[in-house]
Amino acid sequence: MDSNELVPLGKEVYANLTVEELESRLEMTFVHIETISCCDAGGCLKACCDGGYLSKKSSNFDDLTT
Amino acid sequence: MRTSDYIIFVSIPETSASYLIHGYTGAVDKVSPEIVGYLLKRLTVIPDSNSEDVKIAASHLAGLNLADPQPATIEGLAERGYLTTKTPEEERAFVTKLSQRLHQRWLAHCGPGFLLIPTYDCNMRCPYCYASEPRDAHTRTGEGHAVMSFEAADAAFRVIDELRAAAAKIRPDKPAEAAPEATKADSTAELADPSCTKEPNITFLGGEPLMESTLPVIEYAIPKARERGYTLNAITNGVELNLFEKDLGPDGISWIQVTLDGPPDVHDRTRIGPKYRQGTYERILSNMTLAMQKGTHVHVRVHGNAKTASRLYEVFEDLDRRGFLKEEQFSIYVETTHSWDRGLLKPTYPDIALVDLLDQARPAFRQPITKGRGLLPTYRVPGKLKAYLEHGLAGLIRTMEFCDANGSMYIFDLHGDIYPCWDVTGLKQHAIGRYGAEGHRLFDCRQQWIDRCPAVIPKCQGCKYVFFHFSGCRAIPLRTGQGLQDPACYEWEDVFLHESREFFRRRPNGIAPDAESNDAMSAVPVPSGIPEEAERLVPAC
Repeated sequence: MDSNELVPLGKEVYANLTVEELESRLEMTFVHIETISCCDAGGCLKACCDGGYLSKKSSNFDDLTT
Repeated sequence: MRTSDYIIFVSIPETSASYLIHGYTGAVDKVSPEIVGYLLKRLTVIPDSNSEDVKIAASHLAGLNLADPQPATIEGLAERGYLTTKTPEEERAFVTKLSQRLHQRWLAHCGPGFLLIPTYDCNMRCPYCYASEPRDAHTRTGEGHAVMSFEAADAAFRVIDELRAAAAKIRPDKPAEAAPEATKADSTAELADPSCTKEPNITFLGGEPLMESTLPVIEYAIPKARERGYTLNAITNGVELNLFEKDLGPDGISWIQVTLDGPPDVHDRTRIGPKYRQGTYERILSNMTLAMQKGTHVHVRVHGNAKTASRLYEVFEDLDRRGFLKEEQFSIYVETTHSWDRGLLKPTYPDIALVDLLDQARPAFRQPITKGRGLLPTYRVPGKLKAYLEHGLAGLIRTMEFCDANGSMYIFDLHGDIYPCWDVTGLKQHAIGRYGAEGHRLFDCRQQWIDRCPAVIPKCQGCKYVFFHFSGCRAIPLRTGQGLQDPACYEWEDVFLHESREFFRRRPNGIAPDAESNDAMSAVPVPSGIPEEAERLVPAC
């Protein structure tokens, strides 16, 4: 590849933000999780998501598996 | 400007391209050797940090005469955070503060999960058993065969009601520590959450929770759990599952995990017990069939070690021949054994380094058996990378926390102790509370479990993998003679670099290939309350 080539692959880049600004950008993710996550039994952020549950329910986070 | 301390350098030896992953800006880029060289020249490695990637990247550039990139390229590096005006202290402070905020948000959201330990006794004597220490200790005090009493089960359910009521009062916009303590149990009807689309559950754990001696208390507990709306899971060796036939199915124990140690000849040398000296492979498979016929989901954990790594595929082939893999109620994954309970911080024979297992087992798994079924352990690196590529930090949030042991998991044992993590059950020094007929009391030390996140672990604060690993498994430092505020790196960096190289070989431009191999992140359903990362650490009952 060209010696000066920088091929951006990451689609959501937030450099040079403060923590508060970054957290604000992530707010919709929290809302999304809190709205559709499965239950109060614990483990929902872990078990359901990569376990495939949320990925089936969520249009925004489809196909998080490789 | 200086090079950020949070760049992960991924070198692909057979190509001239390398990849940069920024640990917190979301940037992932394919770059030339000149750019890698430019960044390395401006990098000061933090002492005692995980920096194997830097050594590998530097070794790949050895002997090359590299020109500096042009100004526009350097500007691009700054825009994506690889070059920064922040001082090392400012970067570290940023990461610390951000990890603290993300941890608090997670704590505010996560609800409690419950497990019951009806006994520490077991009908098996697997040589690597992770739970042998409490079992042996109880044997020495004459309590080796003790089983949870009905009174203790009643008390546990009262505490479960109280804890769930307290959790229901926590709102997402309110930090967990500010939540009011419940003074009495609310009615279960009031706890219904309209956004809840899945039932909460209670998991039976051991020792071995499903054997002849535990049958009475298990059958006592099942209706109590069901009337409260809980589904029931069990981590079991499956050897005496047939005794629980009428307790299996959607209205009883609806999900189980059983363990196989390899193909039949391997399994039958290690999964043995006083009554089962000839091995248990066929017996377990027979009980798996029974469970599935009753409507129970069977989740199989296959142990990999140095002796079995190259033969793991045979297990899948055998289960495929017998029709398990095509069943919706069946799922399977592979996990390596470890020896943390013996204080060993590195895989020690016959345990195997995960990257070695992947290298030995993966070629066979390239031949798909059933799409989405084969599952080799990868610490979820491919899935995390893909999520990071698409969504930046937002893509990591849902899998950021390692497990629920930092405040939301309550494990009730037969002796009245409450534990936060199944890798420390039976070790009284790690209990976070007591319960009994008079109520329950949580100890001050529980706060240390709640607080554990990168923000309180100095090494994690300066670690480039911080938002991918988020300080990892709490049991590792505890079982290896360290403390809750020590890191749990274990094999993380090795696995991350190994799997990220594999990831970019398959996706040189970050684009998913049409056909997925079935060895990485398949969608195996795991019920809530069984955090999949933690599930890998469950004692192999």
